[in-house]
Amino acid sequence: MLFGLKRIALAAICLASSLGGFAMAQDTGKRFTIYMAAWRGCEEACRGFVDYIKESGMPADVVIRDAKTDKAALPNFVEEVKRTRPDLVVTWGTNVTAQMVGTYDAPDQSKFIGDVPSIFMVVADPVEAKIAKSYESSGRPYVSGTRNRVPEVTQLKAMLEYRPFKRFGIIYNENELNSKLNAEVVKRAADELDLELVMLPMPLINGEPDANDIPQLIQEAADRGVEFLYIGSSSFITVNADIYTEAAIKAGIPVASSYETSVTESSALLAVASKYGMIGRLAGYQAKRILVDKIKPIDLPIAALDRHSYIVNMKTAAALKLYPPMTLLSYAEIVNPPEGQ
Amino acid sequence: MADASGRGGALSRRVLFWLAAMALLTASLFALERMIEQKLRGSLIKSVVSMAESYVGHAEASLDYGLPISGPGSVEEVLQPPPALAFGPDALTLKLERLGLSASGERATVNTVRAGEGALVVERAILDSHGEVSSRLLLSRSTAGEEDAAALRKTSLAIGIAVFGLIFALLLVFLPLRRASLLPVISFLPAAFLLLAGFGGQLVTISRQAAVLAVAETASDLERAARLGMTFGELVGVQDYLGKQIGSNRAINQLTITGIEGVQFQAGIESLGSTVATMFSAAPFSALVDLDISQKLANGTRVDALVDVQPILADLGELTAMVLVFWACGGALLRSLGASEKTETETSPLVVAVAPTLLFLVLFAPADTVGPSVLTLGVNYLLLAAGLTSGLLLPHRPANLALGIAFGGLVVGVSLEAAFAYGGAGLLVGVALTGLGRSVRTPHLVVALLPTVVLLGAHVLDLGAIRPLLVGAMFVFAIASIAVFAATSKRSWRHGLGGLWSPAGLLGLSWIWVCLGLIQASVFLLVAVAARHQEQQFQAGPMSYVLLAFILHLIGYRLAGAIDPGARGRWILLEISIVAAVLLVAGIYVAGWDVVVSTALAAMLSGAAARWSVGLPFVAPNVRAAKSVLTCVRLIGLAAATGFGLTLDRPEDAALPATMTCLLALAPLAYAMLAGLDPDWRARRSAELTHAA
Repeated sequence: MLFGLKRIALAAICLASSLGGFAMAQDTGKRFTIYMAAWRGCEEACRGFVDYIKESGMPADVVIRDAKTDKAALPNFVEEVKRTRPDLVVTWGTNVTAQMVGTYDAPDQSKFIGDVPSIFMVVADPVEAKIAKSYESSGRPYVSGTRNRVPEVTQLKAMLEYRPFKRFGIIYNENELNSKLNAEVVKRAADELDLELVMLPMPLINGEPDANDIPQLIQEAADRGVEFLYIGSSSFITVNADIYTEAAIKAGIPVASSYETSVTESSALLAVASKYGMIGRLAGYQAKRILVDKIKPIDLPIAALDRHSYIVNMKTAAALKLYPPMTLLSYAEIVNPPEGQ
Repeated sequence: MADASGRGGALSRRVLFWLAAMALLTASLFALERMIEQKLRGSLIKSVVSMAESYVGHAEASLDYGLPISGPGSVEEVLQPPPALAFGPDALTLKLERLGLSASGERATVNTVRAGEGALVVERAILDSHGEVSSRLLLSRSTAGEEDAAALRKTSLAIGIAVFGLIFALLLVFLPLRRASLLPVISFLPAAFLLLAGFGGQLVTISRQAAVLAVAETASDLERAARLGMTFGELVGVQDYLGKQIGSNRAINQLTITGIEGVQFQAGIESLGSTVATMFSAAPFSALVDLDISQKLANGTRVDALVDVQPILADLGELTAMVLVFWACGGALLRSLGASEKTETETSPLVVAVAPTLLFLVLFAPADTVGPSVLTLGVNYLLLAAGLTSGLLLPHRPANLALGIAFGGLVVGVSLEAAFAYGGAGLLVGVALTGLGRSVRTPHLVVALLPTVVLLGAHVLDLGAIRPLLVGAMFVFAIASIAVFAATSKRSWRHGLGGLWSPAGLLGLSWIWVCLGLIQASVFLLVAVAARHQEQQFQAGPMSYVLLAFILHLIGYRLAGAIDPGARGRWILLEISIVAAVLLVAGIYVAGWDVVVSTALAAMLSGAAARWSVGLPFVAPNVRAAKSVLTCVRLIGLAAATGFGLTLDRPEDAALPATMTCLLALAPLAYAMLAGLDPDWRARRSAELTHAA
């Protein structure tokens, strides 16, 4: 059975409260119902969203559905939305959004939530995922959302602020379309800032990259005078971040990443990232604009953050003897401080 | 009986003098006190706003990090000011609040400054990471210290003035009026400087508070670096960081980080402020004012900073200039009132000052207060100069008609088109001056400036609508000028100085006045250019700087009168003073000297040069006549030069031509001096003049 007893009870309670909310809304004309489809529970982004709704005093009730990383739960969420018609749907991540909101070129739109306004969040690249037609507008009457990727130019400027350099390198996976495309974007950003980029594609064996090739590539980068390494969009590199970053430390090259986890869970030196809590709050702001300000989703841009978190791994900094400049210390988030601190 | 009435007259004169002196002294000191209070309030607001804005970035970064907004371990707790600033009459407290949506779905507007209930509260918006205002930061600064100081100032002033009034009244009984009139003049300065010293001390306190915060912020960052295991040798980009701290915290201009082994890092801006601060931070001055802030860290590192006194010096300088202006004008008035009875042939100084008062009221009025005008202010000033010149040159017969036309111009000008008022005022003043004989001199100009200074002071203090006062004063002095002319026109000075205008001798005499006029006008033009350059600095408008420079010019004139080096010495000093004035102005553009200071000194030197020029040979039959003519020439030069200076699109373009004009006009004077020093030439010249007459 797809639903356990607990889940049925939860669904019933939430359904009752949402219906109650509808009733209240009809009585008072005030309270909204927001239906959130989460992928892996109410994590940081979800909490950020809920906190924003509560702190802003918006008259809204948030109903949370947890897919528990099970794609099969998503069609049931779609059915529930169609039946209960909440004022707004919030989808977490590319998978959930693609399954519930659908792509703009999907042949059968009836499989999705249709004309219920929706906001997506924690979608790395909604344009590439064909959820939105552009960042200026989704191009879809009932769809808007947020983007959490930090622009590459911003990443490079942050790296320059940490340590001035002229040549940097990127190792990318040609087997991943997004990795290849991202490498091109990084190249354009490098040209814009008059930096030299050394592009190092992962060798493919039977069409697949091998993590054991990573240290060799890093040594090649060191031999070619690379002063910084950048981890762009690549699931393969992210999964093998430990190998990557440890090899870089051995070669004496600092690593910057667009993923927070490369710094917090591996040994990359720094990351400029959009914290999920901030993304959740941004989604809350989009919700406010649709529900309270009565702006149509198609008229909203795919929102991005103005500020990002600057995260520095102190242990890596000590190992490389590349400490952060004083101007950054006052606001950077430090992980892995020396023991006893 | 005659003796009794004479004594009665003298007594009433002394009583009136006492009343006038006490009124001037009380009004001026309390006006100064009010200006001090205004400036302190402005400085306090600027300082607290600056501190609040420095907190905003830290608050946003901490909220991004995920800290709660208030409560234990919250952003509000972390950002609280250091304990040294959190208590006392100047206590600082910080509060953070989330902002909810209002009924209309909007968040409340923030970024305000509120004063009241013993505190100044600055509110600043805290933006969420997506740019929406989500919270507000409230920085509250207690004003109990400032309020106590203001109450003490007012009380001390009231008591001091009352005591002085009693002593002065007593002394008036025994001392001659002329000598007694010196007392209020002399007493004003120490009282004013005591007020200014207190003002300076309070400004230091305000700046010091912001400086302590800046040092605490720097110390906190260094502590963080130390906690992360970074030694001095491992700190990166410290000079840039210290430079950024100084740039974003205007209260400090030097930061030093000292370790166990000595000074490790230092950054600062070399300026007059830093030099003065370094001087005052050394003994024995450090006992008077504490400009050094120091904080020691747990690892023995010390962070030191010096309070930036440059803004304090600028504020003190502006108020000192106002004190000086008022002292000069008020003192001249009291000395005139206290002067002995004049003979019938001499005109009372107050009567002589009437016409110039009207001129100065119109010339130095705050912008757009004379009346509406389609012409620019500069063109109106040129019309004033043209009217003044015309009035001085008019023959006696059409003078009455001219007065009527001028008065009509004033009436039309204040209501319809101010150009008529400017031209009419100039014409009226010019005609009125011709009736005063050889009486118009520098001390009368100083007295005549007093009503203008009072009006500008009222404008600075924002005491109400200035225009009605100005227009009222203009008409009063216009009517008084007409009355003065009617009473004195028989003694027209131009009639007695006929020979002055007829060209005679080698090249004629009038060209000397042209040269002198060009020199003075050129310096006034440079002052007007400087005033436009520094427009933002002058609270009462750029013309207040021109007024100050003119006062300095008059002071320079008076001081030069005390030096009598003989004919040759006067010529040498004249040349030197003009060249020095030109060099001072050139220094602004070539060496980057301070505009205000250089032009102020140049104005003073031009006054001295004017004084020495009245002793030149061939200038006029006698020195008294020369002084009167020079006064009129300077007034025309002032109006015309200011007009040009305000008309030019790029005022700096006038600097070089004005400088060259000054030097070129000096050459013919040098020639005349050389001729004048030759006894044979002097004898021949005197014979020619006698023949011409």
